[in-house]
Amino acid sequence: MARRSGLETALAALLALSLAAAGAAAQQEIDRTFPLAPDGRFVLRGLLAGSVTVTGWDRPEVHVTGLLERMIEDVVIDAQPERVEIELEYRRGKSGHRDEDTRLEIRLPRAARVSIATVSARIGASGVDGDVNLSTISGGIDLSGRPKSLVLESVSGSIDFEGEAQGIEIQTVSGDIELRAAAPALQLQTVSGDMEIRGGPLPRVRCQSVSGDIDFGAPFAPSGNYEFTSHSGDVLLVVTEGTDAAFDLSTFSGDIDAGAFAKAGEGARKTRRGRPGMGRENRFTLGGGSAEVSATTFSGDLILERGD
Amino acid sequence: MNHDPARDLLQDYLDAALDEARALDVEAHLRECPACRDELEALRALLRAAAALPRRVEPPRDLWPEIAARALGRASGAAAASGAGSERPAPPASALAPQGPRGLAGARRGAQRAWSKWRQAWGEWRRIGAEWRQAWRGLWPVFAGTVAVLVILLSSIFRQQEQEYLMAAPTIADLLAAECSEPERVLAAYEVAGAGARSDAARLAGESPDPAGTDGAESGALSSVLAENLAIIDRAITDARRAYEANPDSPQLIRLLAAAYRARAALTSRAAETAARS
Repeated sequence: MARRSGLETALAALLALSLAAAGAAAQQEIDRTFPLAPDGRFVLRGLLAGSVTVTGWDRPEVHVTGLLERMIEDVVIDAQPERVEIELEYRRGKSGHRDEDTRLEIRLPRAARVSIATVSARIGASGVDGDVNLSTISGGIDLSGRPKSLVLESVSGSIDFEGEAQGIEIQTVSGDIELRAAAPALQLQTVSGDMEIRGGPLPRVRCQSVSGDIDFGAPFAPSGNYEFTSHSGDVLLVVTEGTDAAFDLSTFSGDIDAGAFAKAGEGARKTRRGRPGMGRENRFTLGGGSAEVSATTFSGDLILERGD
Repeated sequence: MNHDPARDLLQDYLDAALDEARALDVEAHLRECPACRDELEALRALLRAAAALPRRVEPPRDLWPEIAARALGRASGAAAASGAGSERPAPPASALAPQGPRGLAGARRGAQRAWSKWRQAWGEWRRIGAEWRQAWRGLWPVFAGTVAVLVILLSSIFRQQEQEYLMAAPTIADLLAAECSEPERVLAAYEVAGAGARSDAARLAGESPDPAGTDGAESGALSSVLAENLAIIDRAITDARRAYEANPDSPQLIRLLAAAYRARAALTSRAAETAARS
């Protein structure tokens, strides 16, 4: 192999730098501000790839900054005092530039109602206290704070939330769900994603999966109601000291491992097995049994573990 | 000559008590009838055995006094019980003595009488058996017809009851509607499920987004995710439905089935939204 001269190398590096600079120059910058009422509505839709980060602040305005990839042909903005809607329109018929990502940072009133939908762009949000509705196909959602209500949807992207909300609804197809949350009502649904729930208090919980595993490690609140349903995924319930709940565990063809909880001397009052139609069943009460815990699977295992 | 009359004449034939014509008839029958030949041979064997018996049997010396004492004792006891006071004379010792040639002839005649009675009884049983067989031949069509009518009748009753049960039994859709808080959605999903998993998977793959700015590989991956999860749900529906049909009284199974339908509705809805978003 012939060795390049120093001059050739320098020229090649210069050319590469020039191309990169031209590309960067072709990406559009955005830096716009719109007034929005403290409890106004903010909508972002049409973002395909990249990321969007939303942060709540105390000003009554929306501040949008970031870089837009070249495939974005137009940014349609409908700004009203009570509502700001931004829609990204892409050029069609050409393949995208995968070395470019749109990166948006949005600041908006803390109590605003936020609705964002992306395809593969990751959504991050924090410090938003209003209703939050985030949806992505494969991008994933990472959220923290104290939104009023929370609706999160994903196909294959994972969803992480840490914080409190008045109500939480999360739905994925294959994306995993990880929560460390407190909410009066929690409803999770997935097909093949796994769920891990920690935190609390969570007095009303309904988790459903088809093949994904459910791992619930929050304390069972007194007088709470908990329903876990899985077809072939396992259900793991972590039972802490002093739990006051009646458990109803049943599975068609899975196994039940209730450990010492289902035995006498551990606060159990009633244990029964073999209700017709379901292969295995275990019902028992810990403490006064004020909370109701129901877990049902078709072929998934039901496991109770002692927690701290 | 018939079979049975010939048998009746065998004893006389052996005793040479038949006239010549009858004896010839019997002989002619014996040539043709192995059963009667066997019987004749059995009779001859019996006679031979009887002829081989000793002419006189002397009881043992120590046996006779006891027999005589018992016989005399019964006789005197009977006389005392009658209370007539008149003593019957004891039988002469000669009457109690064993019979010589005369006793042997009696035994022979007794054996012949027993044989004759056995033959009569056997013939009677054969006759009764023949009558039963003949009667059964006549009754068989009646019996078969009765059984057939009963089978048809019971089958009809069973079918009617089954039909009534099916008419009265709630359908899976009814149960799902009762179970679910969103019956319309679930029933819609039920209809979708009826269309078949493969067509849905193909439709989902066709409708999955291929927006500008995303390459084909990303779109293909999304299609694959949707199709794979649809297949997971459909397998769950199939499992739960099969189990429910085998255990229709299980509320847990109908809940699992409803949950699977809900998941399917959510996925198809999500696929449609995804397609619309592109």
